Amino acid sequence: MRTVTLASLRLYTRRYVAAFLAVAIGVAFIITIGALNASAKDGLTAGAGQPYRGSTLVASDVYEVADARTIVEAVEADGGAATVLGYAMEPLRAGASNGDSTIGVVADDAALRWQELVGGSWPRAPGEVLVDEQAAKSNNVSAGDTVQIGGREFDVVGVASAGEALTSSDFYGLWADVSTFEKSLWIDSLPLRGIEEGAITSVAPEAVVMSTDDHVRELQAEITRGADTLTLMLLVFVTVALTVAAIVIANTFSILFAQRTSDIAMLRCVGATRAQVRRSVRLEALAIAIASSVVGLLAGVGFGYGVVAVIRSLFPAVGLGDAAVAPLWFVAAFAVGVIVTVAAAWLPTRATTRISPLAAMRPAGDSDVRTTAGKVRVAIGAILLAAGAVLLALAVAGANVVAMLGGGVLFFVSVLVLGPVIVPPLIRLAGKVAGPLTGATGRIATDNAIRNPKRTATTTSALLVGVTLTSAVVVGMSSAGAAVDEESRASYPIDAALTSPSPLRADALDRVLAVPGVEEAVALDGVTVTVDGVATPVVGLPRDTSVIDGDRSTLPGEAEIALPFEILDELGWPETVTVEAGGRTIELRPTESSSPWGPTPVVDTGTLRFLTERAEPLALWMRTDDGTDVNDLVGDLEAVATSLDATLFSTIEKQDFIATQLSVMTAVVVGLLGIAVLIALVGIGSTLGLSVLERRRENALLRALGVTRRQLRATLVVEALLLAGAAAVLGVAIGTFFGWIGVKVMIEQMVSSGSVLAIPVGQLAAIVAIAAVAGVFASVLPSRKAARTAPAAGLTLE
Amino acid sequence: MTQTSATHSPSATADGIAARARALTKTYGRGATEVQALRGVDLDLPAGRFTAIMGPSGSGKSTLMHCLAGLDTPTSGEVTVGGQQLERLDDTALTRFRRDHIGFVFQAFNLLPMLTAEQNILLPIDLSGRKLNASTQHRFDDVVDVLGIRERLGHRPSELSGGQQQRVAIARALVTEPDIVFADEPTGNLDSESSREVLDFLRRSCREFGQTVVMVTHEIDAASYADDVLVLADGQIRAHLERPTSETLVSALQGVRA
Ligand SMILES: Nc1ncnc2c1ncn2[C@@H]1O[C@H](COP(=O)(O)OP(=O)(O)OP(=O)(O)O)[C@@H](O)[C@H]1O
Ligand SMILES: [Mg+2]
Repeated sequence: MRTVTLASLRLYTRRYVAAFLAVAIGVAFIITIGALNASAKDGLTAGAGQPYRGSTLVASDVYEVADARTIVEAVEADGGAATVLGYAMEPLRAGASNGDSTIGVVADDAALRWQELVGGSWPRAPGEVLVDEQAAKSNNVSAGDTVQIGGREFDVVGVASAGEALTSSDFYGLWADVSTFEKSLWIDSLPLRGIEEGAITSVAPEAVVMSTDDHVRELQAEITRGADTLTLMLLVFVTVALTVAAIVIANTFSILFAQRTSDIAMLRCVGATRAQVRRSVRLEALAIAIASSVVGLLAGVGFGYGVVAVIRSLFPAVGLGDAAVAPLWFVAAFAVGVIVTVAAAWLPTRATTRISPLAAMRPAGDSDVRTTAGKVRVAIGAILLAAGAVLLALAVAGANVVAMLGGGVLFFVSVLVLGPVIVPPLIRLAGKVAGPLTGATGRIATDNAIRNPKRTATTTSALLVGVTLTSAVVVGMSSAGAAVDEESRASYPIDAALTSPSPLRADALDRVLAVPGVEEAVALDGVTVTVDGVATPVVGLPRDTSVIDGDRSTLPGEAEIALPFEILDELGWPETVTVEAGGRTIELRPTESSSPWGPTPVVDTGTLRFLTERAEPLALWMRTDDGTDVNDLVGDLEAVATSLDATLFSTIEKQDFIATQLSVMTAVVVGLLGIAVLIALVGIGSTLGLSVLERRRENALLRALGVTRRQLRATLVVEALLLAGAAAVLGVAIGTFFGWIGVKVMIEQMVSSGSVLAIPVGQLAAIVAIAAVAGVFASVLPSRKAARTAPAAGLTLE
Repeated sequence: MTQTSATHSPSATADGIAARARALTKTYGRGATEVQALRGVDLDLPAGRFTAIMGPSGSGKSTLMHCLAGLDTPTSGEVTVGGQQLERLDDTALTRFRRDHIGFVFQAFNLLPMLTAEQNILLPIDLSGRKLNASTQHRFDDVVDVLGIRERLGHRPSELSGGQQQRVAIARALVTEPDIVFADEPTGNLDSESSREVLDFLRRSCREFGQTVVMVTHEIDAASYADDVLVLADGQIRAHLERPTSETLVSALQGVRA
């Protein structure tokens, strides 16, 4: 039997190409993730220690700027040295460039300076800062320039590099300067030197103090855990890809063995036992499994190192280190590849033993190997479907994620089981709809696509997995986006405001309206007042409030005033405040929360009229278009603000940030699912290719009867389109349904306003279109092969 | 070795001749594996006649038929069918020409398994994108009735007997009113009863529809249905017999085998 196994392998290698590719891609995927994991750990843990260079102790869990100041002062008083790791986020004005920037601390003590000086000199006195190498480039700042950070002027005296450190800032100033940004300063930890542990705990009992070595070790462990969690999440996508690979492998093997029925029957005729036949085909499967897994390992190493190198050169900020693949990953990936292949081939190989020796007597080459859906299959499918539906209903009712996942899996498996019943009618329908366009070619393609329902269903189900998950993710993410959007619209009712202590110029409104992306703007009249003694401008509500896009419940009513956080905080959150302007005083109640209406307090029109007769424009509110590039828009508005001597208050970036993050996440997830889709397309190509081999005679007959090469190619393209299209349409339908369930279970509980299902019609249509185009690609090789069939070939008995 | 031309009357014009071959050669493979399947065949097949091609196995019968039918390209020489020189056509034009002017009946695998008998018969018309007009419908009815397959029109090939399948194939070959019908061992797979039926239909199509039919066969009985018999050996035409009796056929064939 060994001769038979080897001969079959040699003869049919090319037909195994899909199974081979599916396994290899899956295995390579695993190895790539292994390489990324190692590189992330290497790079991130290496950089973890850098900011603690020169220190012996680290104080952490210090959150208040005042506490940090106390520690620094105490350490310095004791003759030691201390610095602070952390940064403040403050608006930057550097030449033409505006926007937020971060400023960190450069130690006073030379030994504690962890940055590397690339040019210029270290800051010696307050008012001097270093600029980070990257920030210098992006903001076009160099040593010798003057910049404005958080409204204060600084001289840039040098350029620094953060090296491999994980936390870099755009600028580095002395602690004396940075500690003044009390409101925005975020403190990570304090590296210390030349001091005993006890000296800290006595001045700051809350602080956790440990040796630098211990602290760095702890950081590294945390990073490793983070990288491992991420890796686990990536392995979910590997599982999806391998599931699809398993479907493709099983399909390839069952088609191959169906084609070899007469060979195998012949073997039985000449005396091979069932067990011998089974062993022979299983050995064949094992050989494919081993060979493809080895190729997958090699490809994975190449690809993994390549991806790491590309990320490192394009995005140095990510901080990836050297790629490496631990031996355990190789062993695991190899084992997974082999096991998945052998397991997927198990049923098809078992089916070969059911071939009776009699089959050899039937005419060979008759490709009419119809399979139909048995009653058992339909029954099992129906039971699974019902169970899945019940679980999903329970999940929606109880907002239960576990029930949702279980129900989703059951439901989807039932669709796969029922595939041979569902998919062919769908394809027939599609074929009928497209019939008038495609004529005889289309009819032949449709008939070919559904003549073997089980094969058709398996081929499409591989693609169905990827399309369903992708659609579910797209629907879920876009609904999440809509929910976030609604929340942010509620909490940010105006997109931006310009405020000024002195009256705005007459052309201010026109100039703001001229900025591309500003949809609507309105000027607000006001007057300078004192609120419980604090001097501030205050504005009255505009007559036309259509500029407000969101929650109006925090608008000040009669005898109310909307006060910003800063003033409320300064006044100690009073019940009522006394507002005074030009001798007129009035008692007003602050609106409930701090105001989302910008830094200038707001009162209603009646109150303003009471306070002054001569109100002048002190603020501009505007609503902006979501579609505009945020950086351009904010930059333009900053420029207008500067020229008007006004201050820009903008929530545009905040609103945009979450949306951007969601779309990045969607892109990453869809990209990772793309690997499963790729494998499925290999499967479609393979089914078509194998069918072409099977239909050699039919194709020759068609050519003899007057089907041109182009028409024959077209039948395969149309067949691929029908297969891919059916999978895509069904997948998008089920995926949208899953997305809806996911929204019901996971998102609607979190938002105030009921339903947020947002169906991204454009994206879903794109999924169908991409699947269809990819299907056409998958049919390129098979259709060329089919078109090569000579009309005279295979028309006589062999 | 006398080479006999199949020409009936030397003065035959293109319209009297359904198919013509001149100096036709076909060589398969190269070098050591080279096989000369046809070595200079000249022949004229007159329209409206039933011609049989006979000869020992491997003598080049199928090759000759494939070249005449535009299914295969000859290595050298000319083929003219219905006044059209086939070498002049590119693959697409040749395919269309086959579709509209030539009918085929093969030994087996004549029908597409997923189409019904009726769909199989109408396939060439379907492929040409033409609608079924009154005259083709009339032709279809005639052919189906003559072949007696009306009750079977809704069946798929797997539900038909071998003889019925061949009759469906003949119906398909005739429905487009081609210039010439080629049949390669159409009865090779059939029992004697079905063979007789099929051969009878081929002859009737010649008589009743004025159809030109060329048939390759191994069987003396089959050849005796034909008006003309060409005997092929070693890729050359060795004899041309007109309305031969079984005896003349047997002796002609024994002559080439010797
Ligand atoms: N595709 C091919 N490649 C190589 N040689 C071929 C090919 N087709 C036919 N031949 C050779 O050409 C010669 C003629 O073949 P052909 O099929 O025409 O014979 P035939 O007369 O039809 O025989 P049979 O009665 O057995 O059908 C044979 O020697 C055959 O081996
Ligand atoms: Mg032959």
